[in-house]
Amino acid sequence: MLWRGTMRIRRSLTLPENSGFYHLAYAVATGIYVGYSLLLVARWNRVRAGKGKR
Amino acid sequence: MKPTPLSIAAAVAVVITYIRVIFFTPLEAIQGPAQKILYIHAPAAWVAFMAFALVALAGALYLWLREDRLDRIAESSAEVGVVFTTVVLTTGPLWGKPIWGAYWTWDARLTLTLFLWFIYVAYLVMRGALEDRAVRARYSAVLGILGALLIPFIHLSVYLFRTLHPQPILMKPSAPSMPGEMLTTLLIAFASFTLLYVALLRARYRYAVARDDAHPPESYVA
Repeated sequence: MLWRGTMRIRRSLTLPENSGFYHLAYAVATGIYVGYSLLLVARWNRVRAGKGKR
Repeated sequence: MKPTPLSIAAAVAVVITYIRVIFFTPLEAIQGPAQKILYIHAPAAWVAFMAFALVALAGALYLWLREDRLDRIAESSAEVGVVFTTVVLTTGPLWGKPIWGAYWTWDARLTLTLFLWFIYVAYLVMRGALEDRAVRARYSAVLGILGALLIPFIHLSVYLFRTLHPQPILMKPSAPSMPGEMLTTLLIAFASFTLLYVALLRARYRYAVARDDAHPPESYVA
């Protein structure tokens, strides 16, 4: 079970030629979601500190 | 803002989806690893459509009931929808380059999706420019409803126009055209990104409430 799982992960990490776009797409999407979440937290903190707009 | 059980659940669900996509979903025989972009691209498009449909619904209800809560829901959903549409518009070209040989074509679906993004960015810019809350809410409601009219055209564009974009895999009258293992991953991705949308919408709504509490309204009646 453990061996089969390890082999599966190893196979997944050895990817053929166009895997760069796949990795880049996941990195970009994750960056957008995480970036927006951090932006929301920063805006929330600004409002709580009484510095928010409007 | 402290993490809520909902936001933690959404983050965990997205991580599980990534693990499932990377380690437990087979490579497609023709497209190779680039096909795996589908598992973040299609759910982001679904969530964006859902978000803008909610903007239109909340906008229509606002015009009827004049409840400022509805305007906050519409505002929050529009912003989160723009985030998901940005993911659609960035991951799509990253799939297009290895498969089509070009990042972008002025294909009906791609162009209409870009227009949808422009409309809701304009919606957010307009909200930032209008001071009077009642006027802002009314104008936003109208623009939000008009913008959402693009959604059925975008969904049907692959049938209505000659287009390069692949046909729907799930949202079509016939059975899903995908092997079971890949279909399960896609359904998990749809569920987890929908959960992420709900978590982000809730956080954005809470921010809007805190902002409005900190700055009481000048007027709610136009």
